[in-house]
Amino acid sequence: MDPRRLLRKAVPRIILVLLGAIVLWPSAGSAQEEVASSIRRYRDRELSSGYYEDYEVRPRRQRPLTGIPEAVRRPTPASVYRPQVAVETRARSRQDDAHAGLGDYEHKRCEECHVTEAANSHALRGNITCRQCHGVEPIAGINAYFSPLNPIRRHAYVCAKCHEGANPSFATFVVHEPAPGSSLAKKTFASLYYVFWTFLVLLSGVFVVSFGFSLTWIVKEFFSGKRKT
Amino acid sequence: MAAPTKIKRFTTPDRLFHVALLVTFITQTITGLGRLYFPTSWGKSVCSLFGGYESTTSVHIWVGIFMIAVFLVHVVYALTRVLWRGGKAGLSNPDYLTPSFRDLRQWWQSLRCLFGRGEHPHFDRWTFWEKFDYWAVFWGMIILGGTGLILAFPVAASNLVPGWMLSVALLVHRLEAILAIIHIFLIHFLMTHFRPAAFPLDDSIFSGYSDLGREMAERPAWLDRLKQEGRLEESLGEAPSARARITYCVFGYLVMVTCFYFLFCLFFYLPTVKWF
Repeated sequence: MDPRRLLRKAVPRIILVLLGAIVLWPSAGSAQEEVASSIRRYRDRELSSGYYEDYEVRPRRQRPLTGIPEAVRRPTPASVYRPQVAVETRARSRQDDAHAGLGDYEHKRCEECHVTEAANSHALRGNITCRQCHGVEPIAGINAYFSPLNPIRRHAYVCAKCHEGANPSFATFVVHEPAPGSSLAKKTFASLYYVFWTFLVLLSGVFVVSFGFSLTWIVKEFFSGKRKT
Repeated sequence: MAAPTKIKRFTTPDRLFHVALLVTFITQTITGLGRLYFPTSWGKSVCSLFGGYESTTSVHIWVGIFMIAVFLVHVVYALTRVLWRGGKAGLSNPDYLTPSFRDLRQWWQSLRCLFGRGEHPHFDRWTFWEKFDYWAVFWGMIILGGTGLILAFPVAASNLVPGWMLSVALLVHRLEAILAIIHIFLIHFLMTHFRPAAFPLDDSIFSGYSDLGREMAERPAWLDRLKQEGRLEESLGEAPSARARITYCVFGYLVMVTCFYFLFCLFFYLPTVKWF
């Protein structure tokens, strides 16, 4: 075949393939998408908000809608409805950005600082990540007025996402519950503490008395020569 | 004709209720321990028997509801049998499992006998530990059933109780379940099957008939009462067939081996579990 004719047929096809490759080639960012652990997924936040947590990914991607300086959230100024003391509060659980001013925050994961809170029933058994309840950046403290986790609206904004029909009473469930026998539980969740120790005493008492009696009975029967007839 | 060697101890409803309780209790133990120990690899493998964590939860909830239903049927049956037939006098009938001061006296007598300070009590049809095992199920069903329903329907339950009580309910459910598992798998099996007089297996709860010689030694008061009431002859019977006895033995031992395995794993993996 004539080489020029071959070239004339091949070049458009090569150009088409290259164009297709450029359009369909996966972006570098998604290839570097990293998951914190094998059972944790950010699926709910990724699907719902479009805000990706890029501190785990290198190189950092430009976040859509937050790269524009004017769109960066600033603390709400004091007003008649929001006294200065609320603006100036130092309790992080009441701040709109609970992690404001923390050094090297963007390179950390939740469980590096919140070690005990990271191991909770929702995370271990429900495959739920911290951010699915605590929201995207900036993460508001749970007692901040506008936080979705504020007890006045927690049942609707957070609990009801999975538990349909959740009411304010349901939202009083303690997700990050302390170890039931600990002194922390005695201070913060007294009923759990006392129920735990009461049941432990009951369990031990019944077991020791019944097992001791049963074992002694069997030994006595064994030595008295009783056998099945 | 050979002299009868067996005496009827358990009626057919007694045996059916026991089998239903046995099967549901073991299912709840397996699914419950699988869920409790899910963060461990052992727990994951137990849950995989039922198709995963969520399926195990479904099985646990539905079998629990069935267990509550059987319990209610039993309560109605017991009330009609005791009160309807016998009236108030039925409560004090020694054929029924009503606890009495006589059980306390026999418990104290047994303690003294164990330390060589007295003679063996003359038991009637039910010993005090058998009555304790029976009424312990009521205690367990009320606590486990109540907390189980709260946990199975948490949103509806939070309309009746505060939400923080769900955490307390979960803790109570787990601790009571562990108490029940240890009591049944260790103490009930010890006293029923591993006493020298009953070893290797007491199949009377399956066949309905107990060994006559053994009952003459252990429950003389019961046999005397049957003789006085003229019901001894009709209570006697023959040993079940060899095939039946083998079936009871195989079933009983399969159940016990399974139970001991789960009891061992309960203690073995206990330090690894988080109480939530």
